[in-house]
Amino acid sequence: MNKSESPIISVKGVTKRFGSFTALQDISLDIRPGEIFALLGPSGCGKSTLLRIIAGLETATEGSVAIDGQDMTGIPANKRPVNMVFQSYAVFPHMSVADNVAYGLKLERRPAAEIREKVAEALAQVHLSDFAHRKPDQLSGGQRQRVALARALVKRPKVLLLDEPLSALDAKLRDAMRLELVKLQESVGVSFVIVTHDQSEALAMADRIAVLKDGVLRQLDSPAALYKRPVDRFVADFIGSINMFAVSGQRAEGGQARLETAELGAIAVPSDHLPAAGQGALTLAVRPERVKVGAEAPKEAQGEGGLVSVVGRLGDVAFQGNSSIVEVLLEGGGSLSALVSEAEADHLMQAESGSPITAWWALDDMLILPENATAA
Amino acid sequence: MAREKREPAGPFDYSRKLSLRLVFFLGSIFLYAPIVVLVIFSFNNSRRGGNVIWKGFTTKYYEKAFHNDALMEAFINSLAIAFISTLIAVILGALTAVVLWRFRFPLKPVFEGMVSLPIVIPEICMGVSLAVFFSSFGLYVPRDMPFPLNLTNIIIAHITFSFPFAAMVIRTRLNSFNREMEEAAKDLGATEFQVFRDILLPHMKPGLVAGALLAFTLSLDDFVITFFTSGPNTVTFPIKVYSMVRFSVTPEINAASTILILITLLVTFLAMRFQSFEEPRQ
Amino acid sequence: MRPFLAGRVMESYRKNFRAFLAFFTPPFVWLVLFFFVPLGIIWLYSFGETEGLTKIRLTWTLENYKRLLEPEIISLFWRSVWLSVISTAVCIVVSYPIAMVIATAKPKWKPWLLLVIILPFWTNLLIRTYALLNILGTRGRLNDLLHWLWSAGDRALSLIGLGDYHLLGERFMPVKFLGEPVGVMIGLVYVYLPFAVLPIYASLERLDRSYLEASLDLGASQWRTFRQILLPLSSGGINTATVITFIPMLGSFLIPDLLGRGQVDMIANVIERQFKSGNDWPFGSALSLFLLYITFILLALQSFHAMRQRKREEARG
Repeated sequence: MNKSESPIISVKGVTKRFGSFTALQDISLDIRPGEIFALLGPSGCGKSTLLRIIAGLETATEGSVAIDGQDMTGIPANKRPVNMVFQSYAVFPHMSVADNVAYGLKLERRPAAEIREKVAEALAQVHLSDFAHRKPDQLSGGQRQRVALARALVKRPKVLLLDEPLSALDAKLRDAMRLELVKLQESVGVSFVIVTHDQSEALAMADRIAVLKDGVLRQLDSPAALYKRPVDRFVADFIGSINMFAVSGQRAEGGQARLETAELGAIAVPSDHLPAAGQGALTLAVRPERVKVGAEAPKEAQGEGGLVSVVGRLGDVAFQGNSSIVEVLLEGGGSLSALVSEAEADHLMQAESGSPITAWWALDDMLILPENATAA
Repeated sequence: MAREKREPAGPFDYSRKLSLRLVFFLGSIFLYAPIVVLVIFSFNNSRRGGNVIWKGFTTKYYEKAFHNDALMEAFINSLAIAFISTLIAVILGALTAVVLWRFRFPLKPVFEGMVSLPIVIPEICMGVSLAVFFSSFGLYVPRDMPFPLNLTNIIIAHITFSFPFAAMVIRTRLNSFNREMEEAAKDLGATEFQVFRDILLPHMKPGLVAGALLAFTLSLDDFVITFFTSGPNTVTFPIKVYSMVRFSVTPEINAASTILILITLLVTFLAMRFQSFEEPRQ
Repeated sequence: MRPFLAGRVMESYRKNFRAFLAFFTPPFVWLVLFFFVPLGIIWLYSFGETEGLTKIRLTWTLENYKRLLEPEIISLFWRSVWLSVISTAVCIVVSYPIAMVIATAKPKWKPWLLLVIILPFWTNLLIRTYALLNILGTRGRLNDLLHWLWSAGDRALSLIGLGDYHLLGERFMPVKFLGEPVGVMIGLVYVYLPFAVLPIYASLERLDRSYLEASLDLGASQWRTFRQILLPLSSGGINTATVITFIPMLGSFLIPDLLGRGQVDMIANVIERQFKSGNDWPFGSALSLFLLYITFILLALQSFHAMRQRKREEARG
């Protein structure tokens, strides 16, 4: 991505209040040309509101949105160079598929021949050419969504906004559609902004993801960075699965900090591992695939950082196909899970449930997270 | 399907309890018997007090009814009133429905109450008040007014009691409107007016038709309010039948009534068709 | 999950004031002009005095309201009320089982059963009353039926050797319905029965069947389940049914007029006479307003009850 390229959408300091309720708190972010950008968060986090503010269907209480360098303040939805695919698709039920797609062009008073050509092209793009004269109630959910896509794309928007585009589809169709949306984006080249509450969806499709919670932007990064370097406990927990241990006490000891946890006991970490910003109690976190299990931990440390190990009892082993999740019941209460290979799982299955087992991981693989990295 | 029939009745399958079915059956007989008897006796070939004994089949009373000029004039009056009042009632009803569905405004519950008042107050009160209103403002329609302007008072009265019903039906239809449709249209470049014309109005259409059919039957049905707002020269079908009934009971009235029942059935049937069309498909 | 849905569904009238006015003004003006002004006029007239044939002078007299307390009028009210109360009660008792049948019928049958009950309601009131007139006469179909039953009964008695005692009377005596309260009540029930079925049906339809099953599961009998679970849970529907049948019954004109034959007057008949023949508009206005006030009180009680019911349901979860 070319850093010097100017953003196609620039959101600056957007705050939205509904009465006394703050739906969005001082959001600033840039969307680059040609990328798939996901707004991710649990329901009620304000992600849909932000999308609607970009579309002009909602006005921001404070702050501004610029599209392609132009300030959009005061410009209504019907005059903005962005188009939206709605959660319910909002395909007009009384118009045929072709009429739905043509509607936006007709409003622009384009010549009939041009409209016909563009509609045919758009329908071909979403593989609906044979359905042009059907009514929406003769289409499946997936087909209706393609109509909504074609209808928005035929207007050649600078950015396509998609509000929970896959949530109304069944699981199997959803996976196929993910791939298809990515392909479609590559072929048309315009930026997609996708609102979703499904982290796996965002990870699979997006070039960059903005994680929102309670109207606050918690982290904006690439999927890999979000997974590997979540800035706080919420992001780590929301993206992928992770073992977490609350830190109950903390003491500085030379260049090191001793962190007390109920499950792991006291663990010494270099002071510079501690998060620079944020507030609230610390949490230690480690991804299941970083955790190893065995009869006992290796004696010498691998890497520079050393090892963290903990003794527990073997719990359930959940088969996952090419790998298994092993549950380790900890002495201090609670449990942790480890992702192990099939061979390891077979070996572990022979041990009796409840037999002693050790789990360990490299100190460098362990994240030390604040409760909230952004709060002042 | 065949197996279903043999399933034993569950503890709450009231519809399969014989005693309850009997109540339903007798209730239906009670509701239909008088009308069926009326229809049957409209074909009775008996002049004197034609309703007492069956004297053979005839359709002559239908001919007689059709050749009764006063009755036919009343019939045409009724239809004209129904058509004109329906048209205006649907427009007013649609406006009311959109206001109540779309906007938040101060004293909205008061306006809602005002609109529903004509539905709930006794007909006689409305009839009396309109009669007094027309006479005290000297709004007597001149005798030589051309048809259908001579029916203005009755038409006004009918619009007043039927448009709140139409509003109710149309509002129900509006409630099933997906606001994202409106937003999608705006997003594609439509102005407020274009959204209304291209998206909202087509969605309202079944509601408008259902509301119109309701207003039409209400107008055709009304006796009490018309009774108070009609003059000696503006007789509607129910008023005419009423005066005939008071005078004597003749098979001619049975025949005329049967025709009106048929019209009502037809309109009801149409209304049902549109109602089922209205149901969400998805 | 759609947060702020409520806020988005309705927009403030200020946001698009001209559109609001365009929609709001016509129905509002119509309603005020042709509904509230006329009601206002009869309200004023109820404080007036007749002068000459058609002139009414507003003197703010209370005479017209005082006349409501005359024994004649009180007995008129009393008659109207008890006729309506009994007819409403009959309607509710009959429509409850009918509603139960419809609510528990197979889905494909439901609309048809509903149609059977609603269809008469779409038929002209005058024609229905007139149809009843044919049935209820002393030589009408109902008396035919009763005569046939009498003959059958008499023959049966003869067959078992009791023929000479004339236990059912010497001859069949036709029952007089017209001009009698019972005829008017039959008319009221006949016309307003569909009104009562619909709200009860709606409340039964909404009812969660698992309440009934839980009751049965806990050992209650069918009858007890009906009395202690079904009936209380559908009380909202019963209340609505009561109010929406009672109000039009109390104000009905045509049924007592045609079936009562001037012998069983209700309030509306007396009102009509003040305007059509008696020519005492102020008193007629006072009577109309009185009827209107009763209606309002009943509606207020009903909505108060419905509100309490809703609160209770919310508290229940």
